[in-house]
Amino acid sequence: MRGGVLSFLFPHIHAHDVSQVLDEEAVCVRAGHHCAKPLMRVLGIPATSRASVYLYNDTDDIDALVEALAKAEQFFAL
Amino acid sequence: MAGLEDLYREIILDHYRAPRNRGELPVPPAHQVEGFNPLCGDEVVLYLDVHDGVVTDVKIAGQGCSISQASTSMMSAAVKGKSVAEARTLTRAFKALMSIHESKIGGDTDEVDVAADELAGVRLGDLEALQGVVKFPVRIKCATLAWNTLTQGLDEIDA
Repeated sequence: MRGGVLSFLFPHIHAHDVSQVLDEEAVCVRAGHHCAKPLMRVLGIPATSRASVYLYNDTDDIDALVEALAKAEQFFAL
Repeated sequence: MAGLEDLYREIILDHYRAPRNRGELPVPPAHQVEGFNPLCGDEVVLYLDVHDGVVTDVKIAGQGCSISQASTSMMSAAVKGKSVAEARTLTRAFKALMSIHESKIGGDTDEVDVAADELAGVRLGDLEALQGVVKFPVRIKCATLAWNTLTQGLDEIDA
C-alpha cells in the first residue's frame, strides 16, 4: 500500500505564509508541526507545509501546487 | 473574498524583511521573556528594560511567519519609550483591533463601556496595517503572540 504525503519547506519562507499564498490559489495544504514537534526539533526546522494526495487528485492538482509554490516564492522574495 | 493584499500590507512585509529593534539586552538588568505558538512554530523572544514604570528599551528575537515577526517588530517600536500603563493600553487596543474584547468575554457591560472609552483615543499608527488579519482568523494568534508575550513579561516584572 502506498500513500502520498509530502512535507516540505522553503529555507526563507515560513510554512504559514506559504500555505496562505497557496490558499489564495485554491491549493490546500497543512502547515505547522503536524503534531510532530520532536521531529521538527531533531530536524532543526521551525515548521513544514504538507501536501497530501488521494484517489481524487490528478496531475492537474500537482501542476496547480507547483505554480502556486512559485508564486509564494516570488511574493516573499527578500 | 479577502485577498493577500489585505493581509500582507506593504508595511507588514517591510517589518518582516527589516525588523526593528532586533537584538538582545543583557539579562539582568533586562528581563527576558519567550512566547510560542504551539503547533505552528512561531517564536517570540523579548528583552525588556523597565525603569520607574517606563519601558526604556526593547529588543526582539525569534523566528516564525511573517505576521508574527512583523507584529513583534511593530510592537517593539510602539512600546519603546512608553510607560508600562501605556504599553498595556496599547495591548488592549491592539487586541480590540483583532476583535478580542476581554471585557466582553467577562460579560460585564459596565466594563465594556469603560474599555470602549479608554481605547477610543489610542492611536495605533502602523499597527493599523494588521487589521487585515481579522479576515483570516487562523492568523490572529500569529499577530497577538508578540502582545501576549509582552503582557507576560510585564506581569513577571511587576511580580
